Amino acid sequence: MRRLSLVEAQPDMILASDIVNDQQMLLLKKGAALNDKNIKMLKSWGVAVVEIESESDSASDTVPSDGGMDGDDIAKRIEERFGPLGDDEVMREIRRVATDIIVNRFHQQDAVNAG
Amino acid sequence: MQVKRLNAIIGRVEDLPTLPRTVFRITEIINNPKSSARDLAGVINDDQVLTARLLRLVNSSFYGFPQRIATVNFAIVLLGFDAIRNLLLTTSVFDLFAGSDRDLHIEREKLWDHSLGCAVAAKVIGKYLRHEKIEELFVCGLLHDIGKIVEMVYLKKDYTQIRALVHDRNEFIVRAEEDILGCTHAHIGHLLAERWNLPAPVPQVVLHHHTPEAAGEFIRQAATIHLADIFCRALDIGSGGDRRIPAIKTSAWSALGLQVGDLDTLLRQIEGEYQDISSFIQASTGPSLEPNA
Ligand SMILES: [Fe+2]
Ligand SMILES: [Fe+2]
Repeated sequence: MRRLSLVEAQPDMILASDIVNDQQMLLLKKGAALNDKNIKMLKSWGVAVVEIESESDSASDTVPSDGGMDGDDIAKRIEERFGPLGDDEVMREIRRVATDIIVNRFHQQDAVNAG
Repeated sequence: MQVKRLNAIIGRVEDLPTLPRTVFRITEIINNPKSSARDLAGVINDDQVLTARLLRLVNSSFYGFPQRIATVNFAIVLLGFDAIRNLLLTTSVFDLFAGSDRDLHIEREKLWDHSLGCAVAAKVIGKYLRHEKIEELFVCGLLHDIGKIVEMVYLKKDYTQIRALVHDRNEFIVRAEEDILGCTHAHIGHLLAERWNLPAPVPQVVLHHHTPEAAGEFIRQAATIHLADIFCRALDIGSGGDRRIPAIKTSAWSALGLQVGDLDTLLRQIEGEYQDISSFIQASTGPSLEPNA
């Protein structure tokens, strides 16, 4: 782990600790990958220093944050949260679209993690 | 719900959270058709913290104005009254959620995401249905679960029990609240909204966001928040403390007059707008399928 001033931070660096703002509100979680967007966001919150994982910490065998979950697992979990819907057309459609959006979001996150 | 019980609970909460005075004065000014941008700027300029925040927000990449906005007056001209009021209300409410103690920190943060998500969703639904007062829906969405903050901050012991029940029985938080408190976050939030003198329909919508059929003349607004809440649960935007996703009440669905075919557009628009706004107000903490541990 090393401490960096935010101006030195680069996209794809992995946070070694949570970043909170003055109100102790969590801005970014440990393990998150930096990108242009969230670096800008941290700047706007006045964050000055970040702790970054050094190369040796992030060995290639690190488990991805999703723990190997795939689209089917996500769909199953969502289905369980909705419960049985019978022939409720409205809720079935909400479930269908939401599942699609969440699986998509998940793949995008994956792509970011993979660099 | 027993009124006596609710009063007893509120009696235990001596100092209910307050909104900054400035936010009240701003609401007054905006509600008065005779006020000008200068009146509004005058009130904001009196409050240094709000002024600094407002300027920081309008100069953030979210708005992407090419030149630096140095004065409150200019910010008002560019963004308009309603947008400024929303920004100030949002950052003030954000403080309530952030709180100062570290207890239930993660819960509060997830509730913030859920609330902001509902505000965005309510706005998107309102725009789609051509509701005249979209900003009012945003405020209702932002505050609908404010009663839960009162529980987390002032009724910590009860809230811990409620959370345990929700987890053990995988039930809705309102059920557990009825068991432990004898009333729900909707009742507590309603009381708070009234103490804050928030204009109609905000207190009524807060009270009926889980029972829109009982909202009387405000059924459309209550139904909008009811649906926004379901959308945010479905989209996994933050968490209000329980995992399950309730079915929309038939009366709420018919009050809105939406078609099944509208849902795809609405949900995708909410997803896009929420990602934009949350990355500027606060970082999205990534996709979590486990709303509550
Ligand atoms: Fe609620
Ligand atoms: Fe909610």
